[in-house]
Amino acid sequence: MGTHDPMMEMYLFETNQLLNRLEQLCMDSERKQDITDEIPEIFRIMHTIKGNSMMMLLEDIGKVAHRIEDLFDYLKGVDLSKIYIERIIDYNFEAIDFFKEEISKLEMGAEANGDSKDFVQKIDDFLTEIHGEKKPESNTKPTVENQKYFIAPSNSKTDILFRESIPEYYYIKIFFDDDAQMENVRAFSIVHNLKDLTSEMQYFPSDIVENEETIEYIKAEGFEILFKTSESEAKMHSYFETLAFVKKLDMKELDQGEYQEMLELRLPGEPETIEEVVHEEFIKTAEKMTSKQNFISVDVHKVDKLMDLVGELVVAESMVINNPDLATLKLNNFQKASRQLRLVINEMQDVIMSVRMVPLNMTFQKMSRIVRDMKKKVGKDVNLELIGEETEVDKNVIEKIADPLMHIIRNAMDHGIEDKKTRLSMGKSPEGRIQLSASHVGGDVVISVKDDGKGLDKEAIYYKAYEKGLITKPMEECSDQEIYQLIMHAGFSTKVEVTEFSGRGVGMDVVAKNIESLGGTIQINSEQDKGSEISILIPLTLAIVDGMMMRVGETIFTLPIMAVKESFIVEQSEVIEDSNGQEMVMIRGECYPVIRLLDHYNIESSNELAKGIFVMIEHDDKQVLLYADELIGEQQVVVKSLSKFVKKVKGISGFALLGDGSISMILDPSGFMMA
Amino acid sequence: MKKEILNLQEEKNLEEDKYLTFAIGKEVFALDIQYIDDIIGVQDITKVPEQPYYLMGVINLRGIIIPVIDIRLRFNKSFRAYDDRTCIIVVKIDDAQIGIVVDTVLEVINISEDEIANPPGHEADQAKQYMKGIGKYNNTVVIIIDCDALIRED
Repeated sequence: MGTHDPMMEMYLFETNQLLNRLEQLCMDSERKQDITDEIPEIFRIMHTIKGNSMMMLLEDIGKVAHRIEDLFDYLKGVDLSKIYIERIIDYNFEAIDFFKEEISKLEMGAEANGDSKDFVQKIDDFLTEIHGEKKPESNTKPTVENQKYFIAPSNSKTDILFRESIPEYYYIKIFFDDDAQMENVRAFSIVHNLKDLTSEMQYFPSDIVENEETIEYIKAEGFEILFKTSESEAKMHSYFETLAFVKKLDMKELDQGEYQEMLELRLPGEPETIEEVVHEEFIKTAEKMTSKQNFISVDVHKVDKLMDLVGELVVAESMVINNPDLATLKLNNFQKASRQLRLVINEMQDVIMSVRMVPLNMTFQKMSRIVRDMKKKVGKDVNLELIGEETEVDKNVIEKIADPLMHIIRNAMDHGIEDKKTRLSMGKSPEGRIQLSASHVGGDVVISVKDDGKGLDKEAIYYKAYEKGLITKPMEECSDQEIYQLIMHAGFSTKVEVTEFSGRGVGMDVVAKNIESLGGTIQINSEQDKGSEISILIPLTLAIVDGMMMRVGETIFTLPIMAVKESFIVEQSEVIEDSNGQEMVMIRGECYPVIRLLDHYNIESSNELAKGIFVMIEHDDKQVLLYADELIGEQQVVVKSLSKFVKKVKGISGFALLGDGSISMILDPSGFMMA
Repeated sequence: MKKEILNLQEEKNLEEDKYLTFAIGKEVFALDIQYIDDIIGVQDITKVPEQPYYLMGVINLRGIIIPVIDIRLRFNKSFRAYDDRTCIIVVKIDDAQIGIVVDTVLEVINISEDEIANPPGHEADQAKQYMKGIGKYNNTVVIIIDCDALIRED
């Protein structure tokens, strides 16, 4: 992305935002089957996209936007019968898709080479159709037709011809097309590009960027540039000819005296005071501009770096405060000051964390688009309900969650929800329901997709898995969860035929992999004929963990506090063994398996007889007791991932630096759960 | 003009032909200096379970946790207790750092390319598969280590 010039970056950024808004508007209007309220805004967005694209010389994008603009311009004045709404919205979506594709090409640094011809034709036909035979009246804005087609000047040739040319002075006055819009921005882009060609330049009005009122001035008086260049006149001419939306152009050659004179004449006087033109749309864009200035876009890497540094700070802080040199001293003031420091660091950590947090609504919106598109294709009526779109998650999570969610929703639509006839015969409402919700639960974000379809067919899943050798034990011994988890295996799909959307069995294993990489888990619940619910649990942050330290031999383990349920000391005599030699402890009438970390990880220890402590950890509603020598205490630790040269160890998710600079291993509760 | 090119060539050679030598017992080995990030004294190594026998554990290198291998064990030589002279050479392979425990670090030397011979083909030494070549230096012979092979799975 960094390679684009600033104009292009700005364009891409703005267009992306507009497109998202546009998509949302279309969804809204489709939901209520009424577009009246949205027409002005859609019109305005299309108009802006058109203007911007034309300025960037992206003709096809501009043309498509222009056509939609025409369409909406016409719609503004007519009474809308519902017959058209579907089609209008469809066209809109088609246009959005076209824009998105072109924009993504540009983002990749490629050319936006999509062809707008077919689409333009389609809209034209549609316009004629809704007009009857009458030619559309409002469709006369000749922007596109007036667009000057030009042949790029062959630079090399002119360069040779005029190589020896001496600096010349020019004066130029530009008038833009009446409907060019944003004259100040256009003027700025001219000046911006001219910089490379000139050695000296002055332009009037000079505050085109800061002062929106200059728009009116340029409209009335034209935009003037005085410049000095060593390029040939022919070259300058050919440059000015390439400008879009230019109505009139006066170019004059000056000698130095005249140049100075004009410069002096112009310099002290600001452009004559412009009478205030209060234009509704104008104010709106002004507001938009000011509100935009409250945001800056920052490279994610910088935020990541900041996050790392805060992590280091946390470690450094505890290195200072728990410094062994201070251990024997009584330092009241120091204690006070260090508490203050701790508070500040905590707050800083929260703030930086929040910088990375992004609300889920974009992702959710994408899902409703998918549901909308699929609805038409699979012929099922489905109502998607969104809950908790404003829930914020880490940026990394946003990036990785979209694909899994898409798969899950597609599955729900394709496999879950029955067709209308079946639904009616089962006494369900003909319209299927999918509920997509997000919320914070403890330290996790839970995103779940719930449908009221036919639910998962346990038997079918089991037999399919059995056939494929994914499971060997008899069905009676499997828990529901176990069977449901089977659909997450690669190459598993119970659907007999493959449809466009699902059935190839590549969906759920991708889901599982993506979620796993985020440190999350998936829970599946289902009830035959009532529906199913797939929940994704993702930890809020992966960078800093509140940990409980425990010592085993010389090794120190860190257990995420979230996972710790309780800890207690039990007489060794109360530890019982089952027939497989698995140790168990009975607590409040329930047996829990015991894992002795010492044996589990083959840790050398000098005093085997140490009286240890049991820590009950919980994950996915399962509990296990870990046996360690002693608990050391709580501390916030910074998670460092495993080096690629270190083999993955089950039950260890990473390393953490402790306050004294030593290293502890972070335990991953899910790695200890027995199947 | 020609001289300039020659100078450039020379500079490049200077960078390229530098090797750090270290000892394991009486044998002298060399590592291409381009791989080397740091040399540190031996420090507390935190053991990590379920790792290959030669991976001693991890250390904290100024806030970065890096794994450490013992080159003696990697070469199937006997383990020798660490002392003051024991060093950890931190190398960077594929953008990730790894520490290598050696008996002692000697010096940085120049070996030009034409003084490096291919490793002898018949030798059945375990260390052989980690050799890139044999370099001649001051009438002695040093074994140049192939860093990538050190982390390769057996």
